[in-house]
Amino acid sequence: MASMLELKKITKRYGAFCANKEISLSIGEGEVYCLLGENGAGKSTLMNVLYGLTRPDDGDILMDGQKVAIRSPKDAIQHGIVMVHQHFMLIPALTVLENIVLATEEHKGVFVEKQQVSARIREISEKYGFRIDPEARVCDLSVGQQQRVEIVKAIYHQCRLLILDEPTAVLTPRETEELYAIIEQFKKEHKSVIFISHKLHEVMHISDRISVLRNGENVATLNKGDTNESELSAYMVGKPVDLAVEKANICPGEVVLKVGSLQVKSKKGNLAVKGLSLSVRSGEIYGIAGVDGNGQSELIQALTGLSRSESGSVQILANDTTNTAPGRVLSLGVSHIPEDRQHMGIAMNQSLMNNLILYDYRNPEYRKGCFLDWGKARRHAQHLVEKYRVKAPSLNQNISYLSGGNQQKAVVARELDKGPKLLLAVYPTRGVDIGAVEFIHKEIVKARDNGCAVLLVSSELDEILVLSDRIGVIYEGTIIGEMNREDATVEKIGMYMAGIADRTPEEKLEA
Amino acid sequence: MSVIESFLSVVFNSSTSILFAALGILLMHLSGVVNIGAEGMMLIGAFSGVVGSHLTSNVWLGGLFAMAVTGVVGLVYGYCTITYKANQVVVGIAFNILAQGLTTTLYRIVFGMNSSTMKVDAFSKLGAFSTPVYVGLGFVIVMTVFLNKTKPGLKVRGAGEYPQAIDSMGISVNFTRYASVVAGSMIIGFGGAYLSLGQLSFFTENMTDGRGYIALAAVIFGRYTALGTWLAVLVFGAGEALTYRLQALNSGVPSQMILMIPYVLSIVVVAFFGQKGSGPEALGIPFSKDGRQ
Repeated sequence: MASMLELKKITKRYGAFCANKEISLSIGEGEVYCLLGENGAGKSTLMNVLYGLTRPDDGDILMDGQKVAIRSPKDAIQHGIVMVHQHFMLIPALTVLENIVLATEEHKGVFVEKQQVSARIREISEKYGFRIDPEARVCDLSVGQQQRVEIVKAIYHQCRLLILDEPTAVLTPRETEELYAIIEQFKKEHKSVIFISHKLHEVMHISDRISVLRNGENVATLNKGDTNESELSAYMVGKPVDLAVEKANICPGEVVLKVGSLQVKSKKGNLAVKGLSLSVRSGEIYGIAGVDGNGQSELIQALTGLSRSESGSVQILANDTTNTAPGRVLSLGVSHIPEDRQHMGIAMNQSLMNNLILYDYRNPEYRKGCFLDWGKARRHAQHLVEKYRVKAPSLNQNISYLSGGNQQKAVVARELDKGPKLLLAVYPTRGVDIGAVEFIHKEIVKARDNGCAVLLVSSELDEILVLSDRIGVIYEGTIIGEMNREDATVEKIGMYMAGIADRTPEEKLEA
Repeated sequence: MSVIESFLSVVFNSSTSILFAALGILLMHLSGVVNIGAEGMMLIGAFSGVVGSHLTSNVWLGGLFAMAVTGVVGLVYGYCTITYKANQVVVGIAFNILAQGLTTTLYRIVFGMNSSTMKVDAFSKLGAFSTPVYVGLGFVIVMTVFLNKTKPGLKVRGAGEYPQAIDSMGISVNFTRYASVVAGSMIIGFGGAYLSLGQLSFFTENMTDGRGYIALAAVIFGRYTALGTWLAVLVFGAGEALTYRLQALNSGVPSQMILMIPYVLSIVVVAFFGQKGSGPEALGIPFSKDGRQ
């Protein structure tokens, strides 16, 4: 196969940190090339270099054997390279057509050529087997449809090489299948695809060749036929992964959290949680699996008192906490590892120490007259840093300069050290390196062994399966299926996640 | 002239300066740059309009001179807020204070300390209204078409809604914003010039009297469309015309209360229609490539 694109010894440094170390790879025509790696392995940096979003410190990019200079996305597009970002580059307030006109500019005129472009969009969507209304506003489309608009945009650009950055992270299993079909169609037309992912089964399904990145280096390039998932995962983490965490058998106690027919509206005003019920007992981990955006955030916000619910009830340790103040929820012994670390979990631009003692300002133990007992606070923070192995140059370090993993460890330290009765752990290992993942998992299990009730929300099935004692799958605002860990399989959860449920007898009666 | 006719004539005549200012603000806001400084830009436009008209003895050249001067002011505004990413609200307020002091001082230098009002030519009338009133109405249509039917218009809206997307399309966000800020400032400047050359034919210190803020309220009330802004401006114009009527009526209501009407109206309107989410997503957020500010 003739190589269409070649990257030669691409190096990119950010200060002392080397995001890409002499990475070389070559991609053939009609090939699906997969870049596999953990978060922070350097995949995004490499693609930003290829797409002209950042300049490499060293190395060359060759197209069809010719050296090319890519200084901006515009250059990349001219060479037929188009990237579909994880966060779509579509303007929500504009229509599909307007977005595509803006992105392409193939005609010189000042006015928008509605008929031509609209006809072309229909033609492309028909060829690839999806339906897109050119007049629809982007903000009214589902995430999957928006992704297709991005792909139409790429085809419109006469793209030869499509870069898909974690394209399935936001898709339902069915939409994922449809995406695979589109990729197949690309291959048939001798167009190449770079597929960025950290999900092994996807990579094994769709790619022809695979490069594994770790710590900014290309550690292996393999043909799909010559490898398997366990080999790939070994390359990814550098050691055989043992996601399994040792857990004692559960001995659940009384019900700590009881949610009954809860209804919560989202910020947009539609019902995001639709009559959800669940209960979590002390000493057990209840895992909520599901694709992002099925009401997880709204549920947690209602439980923590951060937003109001429309109807239904929440009880924590037999106290009615429906629509109560967040402070009262905390005072009942609830800890919260929030989903959005940088906005909710930590106070950015504050010192590590201030972040660690965030809750203690009212605690009489840390009071000295009307002042805080800083000496005591410092000793406490120091103790947390050591116990939870937060790596930081000093307690006074601005927390925004710590790595994501260390920031999250600080959050975990603060939340777990107070010995909570209920822990709400929402995507607790999102954007965290694998070493920290293991550590955080162990701490969560430790809390559970000490009798804490844990409600875990995650979109990573592996995480759910490793940690949970019981699993509920959330789909469109309700728990569509619930099972004990022993009865759970990936297939079963996957079915529920896609919204395919066997109805319970009660539901059958209702229907 | 019937009562209604004369009332409408006052509405259109008095609202035209606000209409230009509001359309200029609209353009800037849609591109993502907040402009609290419209008041100051109008004042500078009003002053330089009189100066230009005085120097050239031609009222239209005076208007163009006002646009040129406020265009330069807009460039400086863009330099502070786009290139240097300064807080747009703070810069806007600083511009207002600066403009007030600057126009007062320059007026006294140019036209003498005695500040007996210096009369210049005014815009000629065409039927019931002076010519810029028609220009303003035409401009509403031009802006509507520009923002909805042309590619540069889409770029402006994109830069205000989701600049990262515009950037990824290989379009310069900052250039788009600069262009919008300079063009918007020029339009605002013409609004100021209409105030001094169309309605009064002379300049007085601080003559804008809060019209820049009313224009800002009109953009929000008009839901960030040119047509809506025009309707909102008419509402405010009606409020102003009402104050003249009520004052003439000798109703016994203290005149201070009556003069409050346009300002109270803008407070009420912004309170009810200024909810978050009605404006462009990235309004007031400086753009930088790596997403940091």
